This record gives sequence, structure tokens and C-alpha cells, in this order.
Amino acid sequence: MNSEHVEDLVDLEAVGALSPEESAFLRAHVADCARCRASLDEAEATAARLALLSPMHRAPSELRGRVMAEVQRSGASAPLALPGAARTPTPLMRFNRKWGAMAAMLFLLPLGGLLGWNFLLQTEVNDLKQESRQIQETQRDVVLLALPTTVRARFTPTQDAGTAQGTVSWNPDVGQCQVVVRGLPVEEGVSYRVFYQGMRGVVDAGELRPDESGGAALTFDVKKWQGAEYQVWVAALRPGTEQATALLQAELRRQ
Amino acid sequence: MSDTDSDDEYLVQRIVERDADAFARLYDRHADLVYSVALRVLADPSLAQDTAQDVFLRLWRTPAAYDPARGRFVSWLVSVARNRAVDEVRMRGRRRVREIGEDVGVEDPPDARAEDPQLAVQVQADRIAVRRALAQLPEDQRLALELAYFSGLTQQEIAERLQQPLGTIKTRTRLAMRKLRVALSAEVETPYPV
Repeated sequence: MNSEHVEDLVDLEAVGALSPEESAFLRAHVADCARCRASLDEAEATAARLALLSPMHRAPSELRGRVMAEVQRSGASAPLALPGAARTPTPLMRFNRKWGAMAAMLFLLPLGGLLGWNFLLQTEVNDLKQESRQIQETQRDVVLLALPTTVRARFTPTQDAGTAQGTVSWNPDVGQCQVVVRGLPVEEGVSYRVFYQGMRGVVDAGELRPDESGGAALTFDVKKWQGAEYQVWVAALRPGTEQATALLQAELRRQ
Repeated sequence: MSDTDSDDEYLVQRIVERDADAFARLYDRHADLVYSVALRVLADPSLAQDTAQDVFLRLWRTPAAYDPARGRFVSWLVSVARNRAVDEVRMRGRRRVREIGEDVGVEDPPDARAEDPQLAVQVQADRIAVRRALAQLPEDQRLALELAYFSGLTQQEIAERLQQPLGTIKTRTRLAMRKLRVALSAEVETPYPV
């Protein structure tokens, strides 16, 4: 894809006029081309100004209540676990932490034995819970694959796939989709995510966490899938960028 | 970049720190615009509310989805709202197409958020600039562009509705956007509505 062709596409992409395949192709290109990305950004900013043609209405007051209630419910205090979001301790914080730690040690020593025993018990309980969850997940995955109405497709690798390969399974009755991949390169700072696109546009389905051998699996809920065809991607996200590089692509068709 | 744009970016950073007050300030600043865009696309107040709620909760849950290096926050927010609304249209199989001309020639009501008269003036000035730029477009290009942005129809559906080849519709849309970009870049930049 050359830049001249991209210039023709960015204006269409900015108003959502490209097909899903064209859009994914363009996005993959601009991920590596700063000039084209700037052009796309400008087109999208222009398109956003079209929104001003909308007659302005006051948002209903109950909308604010609903949004804020959800914000409060989801926890407004705990910082997001994002890279770089952690606070750097101030000198006062470090001083307080030092004396606080010493006081805590003096208080806890007489109770150390009792607390240690409680900790061991709790650890064992947590291990059992984890094992139970894994068993349930395995059972769910086996059931998904075994159902006769499950649609399965093999991923087609892109030029960036390297050794990555895998399959995707979808069962409309259960409303679940499962991605199983292997050969994902395990690189520092690189994360892998699954995306799908149907009638609702591109949706982030979740993260794939490869093990040492580069294998990973993700099962996600697709009860809202009402269409007959869906495209699924496995993409890599590199540090410092919001753009995803598609590695694997598959098309699912309901039987 | 205007003071408002800088403040928007600062508030988004505060949302990363789970500052609910910062989120509330951003909500109060942009809720009317988000809701209005959703309503323009969906033509249904209830659905527009749901869409606006989704947009703001997405902001709360993943504020890092906005990259300041790629443009103004309000442009990103409006794009998310419009795309979400279009997705809703397509998912529901709704093909209600509002006549674009419904909104033309009707005097805009006073800006719904009149707390800051200066901002209201800026909103109106920017709106006039967009309308002026659109008025310079050939009618068929203007129509193709507005249908592409607001109707939720795919290019193929627009082509069928206007009884034109798909390639023609794409060309009209592309040319309209290209001319709009040039025209608006030549306008004296005013701070975006907040």
C-alpha cells in the first residue's frame, strides 16, 4: 500500500466508509507510517467537526446519575494498574513508611506464629479455589469444542505472524468463542489481544497471555453475536503505541 | 492548543488515577455534545442515552484509549460516540435515514449549556465554519458525506438508496472530505466546544 493510495483511504476511513477489511488493512499500514498516521488523524479531526451539525440537546439528568453510579460502583479510588501510572514515593512518604514498618514489626512479633499459621491455611484455600476454577474452565472449553454446532476456522497468518498459528471456534448456541494459538513470539513489553469485527465494528475481546512456548488460549462471551459472519484477529500491541499489528486473521461463518 | 484542550488532557490523566471528580468535570463539559451526536445518528432519545452512557463508561474504564499525540480529546470523544451510535444502528438493523435537509435552514436553538456564554459563542462560530465549508461542496458530495457520517448506512447501502454505483458514492464521499479538510484548515482556528 503506497502513501498516495492511503491518502485516498484515510478520508473514507474517517467517516466509516471503508469495509472492515479495508479498514483493518489501512490501520495496519498507519501503525508503521507516521506520515499516513498524521494524515488519518487530521481526517478524523475533520470528521469529528461534522458532529457540530448535530442540533444540540441537553443530556438528560438521569444519564449523569447512571454514569456516576457506575463509576462509584466500579471503585473510584484504586489507581489503574497501567505502566507508568504508579506514584513515585515522596520523601515524607518514605519516612513515614520506615517508622511505620518498625512499629508494625514490634506489634506483630508476639502474634507471628498465629498469623503464619493462618497464612498457610489461607494459601491452601486459595490454591484449591484456583484449581477448581481451572477445572471448570477446562470443562467449559471441552464442551465448547465437542458441540456439533461449533464453527471452527484456522487462522490465516499475516506477514507479521512469524511462527504464530492457531484456530478459533465459535458456538452460537452457547454464545462463546475460543481462540487457541501457538508460536507467539514472547517479547519484552509486547502484549497480544484478540479482536473481532461483525456488525458492531472492531471489538477488543481480551488478552492472550502466552506461556514460555508461545501458546495461549482465550475464551470470550459472544452472546450478542447476531450476525452470520465474524472476523477474528490476533494482534500484537507494542509499547508506546495504541495501534495493533494483526498477526492472525480468521473468518467465522455460522452454519 | 487551547486552555480547554490542555485541561481535557489533564483531566484524562486524573482519570487514570481514578479521580472521579475529574471524570465528573469531563462529563459535565462534554455530555451534551456526546448525547446530541448520538441522538442525531440514532433519532431515539433512549438509545442515545444508552450510547452516551457506554461512551463515558468506556472513558472511565480505559482512559488510555485516548492518545493525546493523535489529536484533541473532544475529537476523540465525539468519534467514539458517533462510531458507537452507528454500530448500534447497524446491529439493530435500523435503516432510518433522517433527511439531512431537516437540520438545514433551521435556526439553532441556544446552546444547551449556557453557563459559559463565551464558550457558547465559540460553539456557534465553529458550527458556522463547518456549515460554510459544507455549503461550498457540490450537493451530491455534501449529501454523500452527511449520509456516510450520520445515517449508519454502509457505502453500498447509500449507493443503493441513491441509485448510484458504489464507486461513485465512494468518490463523492472522499472528495467531499478532502475539500472539507482543506476548507476547515483555512478557517481561523477557534477552540473546540466544551
